[in-house]
Amino acid sequence: MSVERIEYTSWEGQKSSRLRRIYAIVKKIFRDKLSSKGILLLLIIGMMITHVLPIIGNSVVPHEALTSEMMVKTIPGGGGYLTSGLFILFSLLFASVVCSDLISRDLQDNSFVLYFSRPIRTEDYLLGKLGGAFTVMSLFCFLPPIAFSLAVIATQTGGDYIVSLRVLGDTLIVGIFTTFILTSFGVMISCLTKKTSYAGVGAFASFFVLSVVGGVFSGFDPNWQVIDPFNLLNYSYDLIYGFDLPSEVSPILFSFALLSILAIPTTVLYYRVYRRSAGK
Amino acid sequence: MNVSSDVKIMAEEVFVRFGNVVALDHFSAKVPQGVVGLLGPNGAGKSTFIKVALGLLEAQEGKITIDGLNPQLEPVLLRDKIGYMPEDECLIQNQNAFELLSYMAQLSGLLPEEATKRSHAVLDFIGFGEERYREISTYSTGMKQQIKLAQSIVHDPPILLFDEPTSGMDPVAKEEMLSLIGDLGKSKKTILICSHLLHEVERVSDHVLIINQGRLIRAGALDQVLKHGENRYKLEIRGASDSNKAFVDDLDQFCEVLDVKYIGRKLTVVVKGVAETKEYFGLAKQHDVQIRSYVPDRLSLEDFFIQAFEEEERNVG
Repeated sequence: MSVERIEYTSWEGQKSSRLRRIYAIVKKIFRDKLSSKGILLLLIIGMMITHVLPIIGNSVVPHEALTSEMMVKTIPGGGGYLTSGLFILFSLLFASVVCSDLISRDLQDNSFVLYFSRPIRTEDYLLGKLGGAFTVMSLFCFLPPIAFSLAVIATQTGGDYIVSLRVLGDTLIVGIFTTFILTSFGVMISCLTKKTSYAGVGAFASFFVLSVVGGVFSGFDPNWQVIDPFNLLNYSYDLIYGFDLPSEVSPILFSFALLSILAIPTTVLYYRVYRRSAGK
Repeated sequence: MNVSSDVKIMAEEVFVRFGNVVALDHFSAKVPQGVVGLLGPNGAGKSTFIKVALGLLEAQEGKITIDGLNPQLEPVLLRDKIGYMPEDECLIQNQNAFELLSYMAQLSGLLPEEATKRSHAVLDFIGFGEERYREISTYSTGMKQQIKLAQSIVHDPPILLFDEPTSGMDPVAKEEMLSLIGDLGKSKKTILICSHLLHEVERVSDHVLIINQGRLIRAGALDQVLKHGENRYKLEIRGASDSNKAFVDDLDQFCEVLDVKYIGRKLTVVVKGVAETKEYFGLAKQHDVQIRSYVPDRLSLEDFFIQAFEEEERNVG
């Protein structure tokens, strides 16, 4: 039921800072995502399979300290907590679901004009969107590995906490690195289409397509492995935790692939949103 | 209605081209404080002008200043002072009106608590009740237009740009929208309304700018514009067609004949002049025609618009 209209009243108050306006976007995304039953369900299932079981398992089994091997090398041939495949797979699935509608929904609703007729810049909009997605993604990619590390440190039998804390520091970097790569990739795919379903499937599928291409061509030349995003992330974790790259992989090609996955999504995203904000 | 001479928006020789299409052709205009109608047919360049003013489009030549600010150099400062109601569908569909307004208020610089209070106040102003908590995708076109207006005023900007505010609305909803704009006009804001619906703009505007093919062809305070219509009279004549024609030919002796319409044996003539009534009747008697009515004729904005276009065409021709 509509109500009797009241007179127009003016507003007098102090305008907030630029950061508060970016924070408004971050907060909205965080709130929206965590009120989605689908995302909550995926988060819980993913947590149970990927994080809770390893946390319990590694805490119960007697150990001297938290080591890099636990994170990436424990199971011979099968990888560690972060490189078993489950972590990246669920992280990718989570990124596809979380990021799919962030820009595509604005494209679909034509609501860019609502943002860019307000006192915010293209950079603020992007920082808000990426920040919101990053915060949600960190619930799966950043906080649980830290929780894993802390649980293992808390139950360690040895007294060498320096080694454990160094691994904890490396885990912080891995968490931020993984969250950033998957978030920027997911949001980039979202800015390429108006359909949220295409964006969701696109982010997931493009990782697998690259993985298949990498797998097929690595038979001819092992350097093709760096095309595979799963390998790229695993090799990056190895480097962060102080291990070497596989000898058959060229460090130059690996660096180039890493730089590409870090820079291309954010560049495409900025260019695409900037063009929209400029009415092109 | 009073029009302040204070110029709020100034365009100087603004030129915008999209490929081969010239959208604004060295457009110059001054928009004073008050409710100002930017009138023109579809494709005249009205929306382009608004987008350039907002800094959403860049002019290839010329410049626009709004309250002394350049949209290209200081877009953020400028947009703090502007509220924009776009013509196209742009609302975030999976939110309710209150959430959208509160979000937009925060993006415009209101703190969350302030944004909540202000959103409710604006929704009360536009007459939204419980429907403010319904998802926007379920709203009618009229309600969506009202929400578009609400989001443009939620941060209480001094300058408002409304692009076709009554687009797609039914007569009742149009009335409501015009009433809202009229109320906003009383709060000393500068409101620029882009429209091709002249009778609507005429009801709420203090000042008009007429644009065609990217050029300003007329501008002025509405009361001054319509003053051109003083001493206009409409005569309805009935008689034989030859007599009617002769009557019109001789009318020139007393006054200026502005418009003549023949409908069968009936003739409608719009004249401008200060002739005595008895002279019209004397002439009618002389030509054996009857004057069925003789009433003052008010110039409408539509007449002014048509005149402006005809003059423009003559000048171009």
